[in-house]
Amino acid sequence: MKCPNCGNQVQEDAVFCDQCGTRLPRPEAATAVANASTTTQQPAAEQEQAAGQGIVPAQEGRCANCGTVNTPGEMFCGECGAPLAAPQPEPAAEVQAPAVPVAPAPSGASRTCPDCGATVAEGEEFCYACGAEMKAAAAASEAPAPAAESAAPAQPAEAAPPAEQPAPAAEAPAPEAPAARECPACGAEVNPGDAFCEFCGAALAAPQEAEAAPAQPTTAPAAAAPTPAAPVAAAQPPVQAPPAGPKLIASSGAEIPLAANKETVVGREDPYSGVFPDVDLSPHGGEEGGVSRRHFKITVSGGQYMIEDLNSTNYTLLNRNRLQPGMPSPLNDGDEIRAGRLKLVFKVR
Amino acid sequence: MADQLRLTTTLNKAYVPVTSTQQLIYALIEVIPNEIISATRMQVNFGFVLDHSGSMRGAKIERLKEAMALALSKMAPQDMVSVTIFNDNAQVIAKQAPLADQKGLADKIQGMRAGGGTQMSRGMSLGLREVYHSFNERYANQLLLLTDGQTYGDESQCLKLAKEAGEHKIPIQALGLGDDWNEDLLDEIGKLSTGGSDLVAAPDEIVPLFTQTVERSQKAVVRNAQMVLRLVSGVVPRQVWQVTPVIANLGYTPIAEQDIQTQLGELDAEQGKAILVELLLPQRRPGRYRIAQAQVTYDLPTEGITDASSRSDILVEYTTDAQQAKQYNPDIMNLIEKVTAFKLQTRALDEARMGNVAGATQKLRAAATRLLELGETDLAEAAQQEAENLEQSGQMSASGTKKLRYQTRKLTQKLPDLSE
Repeated sequence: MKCPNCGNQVQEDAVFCDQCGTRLPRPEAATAVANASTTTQQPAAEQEQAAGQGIVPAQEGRCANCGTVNTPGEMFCGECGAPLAAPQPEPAAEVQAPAVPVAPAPSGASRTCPDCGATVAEGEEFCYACGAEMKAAAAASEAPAPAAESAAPAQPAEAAPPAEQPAPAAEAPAPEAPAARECPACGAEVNPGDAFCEFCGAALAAPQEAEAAPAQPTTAPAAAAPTPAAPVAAAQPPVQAPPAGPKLIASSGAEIPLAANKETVVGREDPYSGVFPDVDLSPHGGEEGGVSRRHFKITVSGGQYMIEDLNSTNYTLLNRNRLQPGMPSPLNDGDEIRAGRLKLVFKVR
Repeated sequence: MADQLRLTTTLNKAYVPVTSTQQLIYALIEVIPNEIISATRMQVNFGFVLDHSGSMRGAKIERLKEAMALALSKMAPQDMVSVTIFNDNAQVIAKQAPLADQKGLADKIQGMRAGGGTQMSRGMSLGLREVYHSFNERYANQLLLLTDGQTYGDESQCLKLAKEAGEHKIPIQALGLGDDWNEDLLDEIGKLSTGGSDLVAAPDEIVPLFTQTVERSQKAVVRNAQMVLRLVSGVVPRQVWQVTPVIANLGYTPIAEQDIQTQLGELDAEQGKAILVELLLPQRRPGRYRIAQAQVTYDLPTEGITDASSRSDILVEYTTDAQQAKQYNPDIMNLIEKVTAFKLQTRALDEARMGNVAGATQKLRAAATRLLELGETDLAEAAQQEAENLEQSGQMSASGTKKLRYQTRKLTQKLPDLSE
């Protein structure tokens, strides 16, 4: 099972996390979760691997001495310390290519990673995304030519709040076509199917989810929209029409749009420690309000929004009830969220 | 790019089998100082805070005097030193000053008499003030605290002082002598002050431990070291262990989607530091992959260098060849086994404290088996003995607990035994 505090993989019967020392919940509560995801730790990694991973076969990593099932590759049983047999290659195993290509920095010559499809700069020995060795072979790049000189590379650090209907999307054909789209967090151009934004590292919506998303063609970039309020949106050069999706409303009245179909981490940007949440509350008084760098996250599944405190220092309150860290609670239209001292109202649209 | 430190990475196996599941791999990252750094020694700004309560009477205080004499002989004339003694009260018998100017210091130490109770916070408070008085970034600032008993009623004050010491960059090395001291308190003092704690099992051990503490402090040439691991997609960190100089669970902090950071603190000029990282690998097709990049940043106060860094790639080859997949690096396997013994022992003590006698007993027996396999008969016996104590009385002995707790950390200090 996973430690609810730090995400460390711990033994099923452990009482404390040996990573951070947190007292762990009783096993029966955690079993379901543990079965669902045997070994992954990060939510994004879970999504991306859920398909191929499956449950560890019973014999793989099973301790001959006490029967505990360990992670394949572990050298000693975590329970009784007995040496474990080495995992064997499975020639028959249908190993799928890592489905985790990440958008490249479109600078100079580049090649496509044969394993994951990410575009890798010429001269790089390994793919930065999946780690595959780049053979010095054909430099011919079949990667979709990075459309235009997007502002992306210039502002990797600027994690502006998601503006989820970027102009290019309007022209984009069907989602399965290999057309570029933008990172909802920083606006950088990314490839469809990318799991993470190359610039800000934000988790991107899975392609199929994108398909399901109601395609909301936006109006022409500048012209039309009167751009009410939203000083946040002003951080982004091409001003968008106010998004019609879910949003948070700050006490100043500013609207902070949220991505419609993905997990959104809300917090306070800290370039110094490299933390760039999807939504940065700094412009809304996040620092003074005691907002943690990763404060809470909003997820959606089957049309129901959920909010989960990410073990924030000053707690997350939902309608004045303090949330237990790591325990998602349903989030409904008009609910009041407090991150530290900062008050926000959640609106579905 | 700085070349004062070199990073090398070795995996427990260079080839991993292509499988349809996640699998674990161990990466040993060694941070090795170059020759110039190895020969560098820090000037020290050292404070001794010594318990002279009634229980120190006899061999303990006599050995302590010897230990002080020897420790001081390891210092240079310009090194700063002070001596504070405490029982119910505390007294600075030598104010912080260059060793060369400390007239009659030897006599003052010889004049120490055992008597009275134990109020550790008073000694810590005065001793810290002395070290802080001569604090110098370019020196190794350190407090050595020795006690043989429980302090009465001022534990929270001790912890507060330890925390302040950490904030002022004065690590405390807390040494507990004998069986009757509070290891939770001393461990916490060590941790909060970014120093450490250790057991002095018998009076005779005071002398070498004092000398070691002084020498270690002189060799703590690399400061504020931290390691960042940048993992590629799908690679998940599990645990980060320090394996040398002593075994410790360092933990990590995620700093970005695929990056984790670990504080390494001070590095020994000769020994550097070795880190064992457990990583969960995703499935991949056969071929060579760079699964992670390790980078260590550090300061070198003696050279006036800050924020230098060194890096290393972690490469692995996925193979379908069963023979290749069976090849292991025996040195790393030995280290993993030691960490396993440490882990089992730690969990056993935690569970015993929680009142889970059955779980603790089982873990202790498992630890005993590992220790025996490692050739650590002494420790294996201690673990076995404590398992029996637990079973019979539901309790472990103070001396056995301390021995396991402090000795298993040092399993890696001996040369790996590969003769078997």
